[in-house]
Amino acid sequence: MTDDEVVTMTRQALRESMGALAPEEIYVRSGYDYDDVPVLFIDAFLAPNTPLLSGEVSNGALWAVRSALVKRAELRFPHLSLRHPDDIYPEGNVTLDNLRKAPASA
Amino acid sequence: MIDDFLRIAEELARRDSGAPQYASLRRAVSTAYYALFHAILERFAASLISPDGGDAESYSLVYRTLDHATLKRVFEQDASGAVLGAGVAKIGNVFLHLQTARIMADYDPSEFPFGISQVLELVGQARESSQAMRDLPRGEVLRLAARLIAKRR
Repeated sequence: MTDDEVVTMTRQALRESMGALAPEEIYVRSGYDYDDVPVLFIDAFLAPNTPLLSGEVSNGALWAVRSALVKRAELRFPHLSLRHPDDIYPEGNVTLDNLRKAPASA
Repeated sequence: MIDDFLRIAEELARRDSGAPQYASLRRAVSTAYYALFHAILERFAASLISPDGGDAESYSLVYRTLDHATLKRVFEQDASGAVLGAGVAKIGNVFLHLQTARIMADYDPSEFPFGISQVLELVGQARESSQAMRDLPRGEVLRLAARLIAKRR
């Protein structure tokens, strides 16, 4: 699948899994994990002021995306990062604008 | 031990007032990963040798049989859960995600791309999956154990 196709599929899977919490802004980058295995890095930006997601919701979202991809024979693992636009990062560290340009590798 | 790892991971993520320190968030992610890693090892070992059976040496031997790479390989091979079941595959998904985050946290000197909220959610993912591992039916644990230790000839 192309990165654009992964975006479309991820958006649909997250809508079904997360309902009203589902992010609309999604970026995908094909890459490799530390073991040189091909993977997908997916950054999905939640709405401002979204409360902390429970482990159940986060894990359900990851499973939904993974399952949707596998059904389309896309076996690259999706490293799904659900990002809060109002998250607090270490000073001088990465910015969300940078993440939008180049999704992080985890 | 697992609950302690999870508690410490959360404390690390929350410990700094204002902007967090790199080290706090990195150690939180790494500790969350190890919580899930040990949850899997604990259930794996206990499925083969009772930890309360008086043979602590054998239990420890089995516990230490598994390594990170073996778990990664087995979980990668069953993406849909067709072999090991959806319960194991869901845990495997989170394991694979946390493992890559942990490698980044422990070894990658480039910018650390997680903020406090996301780190706390990674801890939550580890907590939920650790509990799922504890709750997994024994038959599914044994099926996973077989894939983890068997070598094909």
